[in-house]
Amino acid sequence: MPDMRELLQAAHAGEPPMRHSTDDFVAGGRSRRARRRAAWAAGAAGMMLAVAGVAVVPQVVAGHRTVPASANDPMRYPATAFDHTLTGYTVRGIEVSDPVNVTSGYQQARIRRGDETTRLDRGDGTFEQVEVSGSVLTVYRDGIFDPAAVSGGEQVRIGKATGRYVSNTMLAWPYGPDAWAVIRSAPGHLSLDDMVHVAEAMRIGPSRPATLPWRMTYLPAGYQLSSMGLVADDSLSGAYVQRGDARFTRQPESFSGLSGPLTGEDADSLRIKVFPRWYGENQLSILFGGTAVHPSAGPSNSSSYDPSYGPSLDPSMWPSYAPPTGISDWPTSNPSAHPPLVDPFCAPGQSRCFRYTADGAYLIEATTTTPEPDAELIQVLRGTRLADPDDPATWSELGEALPGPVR
Amino acid sequence: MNSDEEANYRSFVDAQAHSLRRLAYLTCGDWQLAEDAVFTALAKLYTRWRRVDRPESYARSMVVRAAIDEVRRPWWRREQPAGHAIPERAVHDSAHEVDERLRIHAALAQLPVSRRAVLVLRYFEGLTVQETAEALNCPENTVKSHTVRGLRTLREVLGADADLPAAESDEVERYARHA
Repeated sequence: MPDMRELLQAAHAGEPPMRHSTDDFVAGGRSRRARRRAAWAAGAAGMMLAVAGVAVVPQVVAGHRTVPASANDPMRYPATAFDHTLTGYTVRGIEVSDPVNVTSGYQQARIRRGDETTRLDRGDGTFEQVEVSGSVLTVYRDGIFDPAAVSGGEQVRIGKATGRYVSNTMLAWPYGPDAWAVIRSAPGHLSLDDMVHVAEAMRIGPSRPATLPWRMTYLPAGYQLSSMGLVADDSLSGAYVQRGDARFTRQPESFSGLSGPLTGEDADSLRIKVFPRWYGENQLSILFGGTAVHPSAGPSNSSSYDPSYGPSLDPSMWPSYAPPTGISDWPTSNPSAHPPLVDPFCAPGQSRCFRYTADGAYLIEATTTTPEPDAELIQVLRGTRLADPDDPATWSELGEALPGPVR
Repeated sequence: MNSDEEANYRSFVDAQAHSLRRLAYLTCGDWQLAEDAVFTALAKLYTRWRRVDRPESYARSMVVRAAIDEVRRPWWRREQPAGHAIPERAVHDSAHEVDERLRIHAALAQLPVSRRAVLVLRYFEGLTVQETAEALNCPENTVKSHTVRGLRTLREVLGADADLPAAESDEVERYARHA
């Protein structure tokens, strides 16, 4: 007859190996200490400005985020590889977002006019009005951008700096010694005057740690984080439908002498993307040749669920999300009403696998540019747990979001 | 942190990380979340290493609180773990032991996480009511009421054959009516 302690000991039998090594814990502590010091320094700098009586005039429009302006502040690049310092702002009705994609060489933000949206077909007879952006701001770490890429451009004054404008395409300017920022516009989206105002309003923000809207426990051996954010670096402009992205590469990418951002096309990459379910299912339908997506294997507590089914090669076996009866009031505090995980499924021979979140709200996609066994991608997806992509407060810093060896 | 202090911190992590993860697991019921909680707690401990007199006590408290926070995060509500988070290591259990473990898991899962944390600290870690209250930063009366109600739930789920401790008589008298 077990006593209470024996009961509790029995409960943790089958303990798995630790994911983190002692070095990981030390690195996590150092990272936390560095962030605290950076936050303290930023706060102290703000205090000094206030004490000195420096006028801090908001030059940008509130409603998105008001950025204190000080023309003498250089734009600083964060010391930690994936931290970011750019803060979203609005100027003359043009919104610059917080960084939506970050690499160790640059941070990128979307630029849109406040009223720019597009209507997308949800695939069920209804439509979704989503924000759309036609331009992108890229802020490079010093020494990364090669200004020769814009050497033929027209000279333009940006504050005290001299930038280069390539007609109807982009404006590049140095915001610090050998440190460049670039606005790239879709044809006709931003005028030179628009770009200059956006450039002049760009200001320093406090360094913030990079975060991801998920946590993951597994990546195949040899991959390292290359870019991450809310939007993939291969689709930064356009409709705002993605809710998370990370790209991992087997070889370190070279961030020097760039004439533009990297997209991972030339590297052995593993990429994770998160979409709302309605958009994800539309993509599945296209991917699988226009065949309708039907429930089959389904959630693991459905009557049709076959626990022996593996990665499907048969489109009729894609497990479209079909919520079990009785969970329409999801989320609920009743644990017994929680839906089970839906198992991943794969596109045949494409190194491309998917998994719905258990509540059916999102589709997570894992792909590789070079062949990788589906079993590896399935393990990645099974170990990936999504937070609320629309609430950055729920996201995890990289130390918690990624498996130890990747960080 | 100088090199000696970091060496001491490393020794502490080497010695305590596994037992802290077990503590977190019993609190939150998921190995992945448990390790996340330990990671968070030990990162905090690193930054305060010089100022903490009793690192074992501090870490235990921070781990349990972090485990409670983990359970309250959105993905817990979105995706109830179904064994995919981290595969458990195969153990040589007899069928009876497997059944018993599943039964205990089910019983613990019936408890709200804060109540489970109280039982784990009191009966797995052997803390007093006062120590448990300090660890969870809550009043002693809350610890007592959670104890009474938690044990009652476990008895109901596990049945009479489980040798569960009786809560102190004053705890039962005061809180049983409201349990």
